[in-house]
Amino acid sequence: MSQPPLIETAALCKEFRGGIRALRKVDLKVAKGEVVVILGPSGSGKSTLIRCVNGLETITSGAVVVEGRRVDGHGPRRWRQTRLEIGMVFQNYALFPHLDVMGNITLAPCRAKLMGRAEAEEEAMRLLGIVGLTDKARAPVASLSGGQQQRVAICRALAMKPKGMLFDEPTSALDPEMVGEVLATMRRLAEEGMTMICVTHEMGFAREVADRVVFMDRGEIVEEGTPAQFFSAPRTERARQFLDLIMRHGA
Amino acid sequence: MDLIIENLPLMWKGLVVTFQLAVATLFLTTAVSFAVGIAAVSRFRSLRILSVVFVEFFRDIPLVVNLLFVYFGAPLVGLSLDPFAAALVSFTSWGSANGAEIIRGGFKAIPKHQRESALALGMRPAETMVLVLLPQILLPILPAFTGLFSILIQATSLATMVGAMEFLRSAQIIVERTTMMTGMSPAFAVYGFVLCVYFVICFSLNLLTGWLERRIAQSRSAHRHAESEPATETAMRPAEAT
Repeated sequence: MSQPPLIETAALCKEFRGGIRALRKVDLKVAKGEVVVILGPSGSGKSTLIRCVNGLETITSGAVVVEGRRVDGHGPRRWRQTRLEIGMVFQNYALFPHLDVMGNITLAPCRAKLMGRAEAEEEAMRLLGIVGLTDKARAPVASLSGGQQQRVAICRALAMKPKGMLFDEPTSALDPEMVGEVLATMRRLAEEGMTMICVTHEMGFAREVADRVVFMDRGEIVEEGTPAQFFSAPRTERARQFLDLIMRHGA
Repeated sequence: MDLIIENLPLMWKGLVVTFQLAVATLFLTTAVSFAVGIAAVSRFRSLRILSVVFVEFFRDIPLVVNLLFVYFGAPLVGLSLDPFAAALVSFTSWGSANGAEIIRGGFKAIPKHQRESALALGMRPAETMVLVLLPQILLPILPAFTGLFSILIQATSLATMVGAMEFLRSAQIIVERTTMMTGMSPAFAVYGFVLCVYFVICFSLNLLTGWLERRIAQSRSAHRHAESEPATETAMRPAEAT
């Protein structure tokens, strides 16, 4: 690979106060255009890992590298550039309740001077068109369903024209009937070549959309591979147990 | 009643001073409250500690003691504060300590994903504070802040203790003067009048805020009902709490 990976973590360790070791020497490389799905039982460090990538968690040791530049360090100023380049979608959507849909999408790009207000609104309408929510542009956030809010949250992140996207369990807080619409949006994004790291429990999505599946347990990457290989013939006992458990509950 | 009408000019003067003191106190208290309240949730440890020290110190001292301390203590550090200034400093420090706690509580009630999502979008910490977090606490803190305003307006009467010529003091003077001249104390009538005036001021303030709150709530819900697809299940989640 001549091009450096878009996102890379090297020997990443994260220890929370109280000595809980959430990440133990995690090495992860995500190439441009790659879709990586991180699976693992709860508490395995999946969310912590992607939160370290854009500095929402301070890392204890190791390195976070974006396009060959080391970006980890202290303080928001240091992280700002990375955050401008890599978008994030949260489990709870976290839309700003005091702004309408349009305000949510245009706030950050206008502040970052990526574009003027008119251009930002045009871009917002384009993105809302893709997720089928143009009629909600002026709606207050609280009037939207969970699935609609999450799609707006994805638009909000995309309005920054990011090079990559982090998804932190984007469908876990949704009612079952709304999961599909959000996954469809993510699938479309993947097809358009967006680099994505997704923490999710949606096995179907992992199987069909991921280029690579990373299985984590107790703060370590236990196994990684193509979805076909991982789901049909997991190499490690821990992965096998995890998959057994998931399948048994009919997921 | 005649007595009060006769002395209206004096009482009016007192009332004007009370108003000046109250307005200045409320204005300064609001400003300092926000500064200290924002410091309380700062990412800088030193600012957070300073904020806690300020809040704890002034909240744990009775307001009267604080006032006397400022008035009689100021000359010791080379400042000579007139009664009005001493009262202003004292009420502001006490009010801001309580106001800062209200504001800190407002911030604590915002889900942490609000701040994180703003930062994740590449917004600077100051932008996150001013454009994302502050607008979200204004409505929730309004009732508590009105309560504080009401208490502070009432507290301005304490300025009498250091000799400020405010409303209550003017009433005292009238009572004393009339007692000396006629031998009869009009205390009940005069102080009754004073009581009514304070009540009317604070009660109007409360009515005003209640009206303001309803107006804001109404405009938000009206907006919501205008939408074709009302949310039912999302309203219960804290992330959407407005």
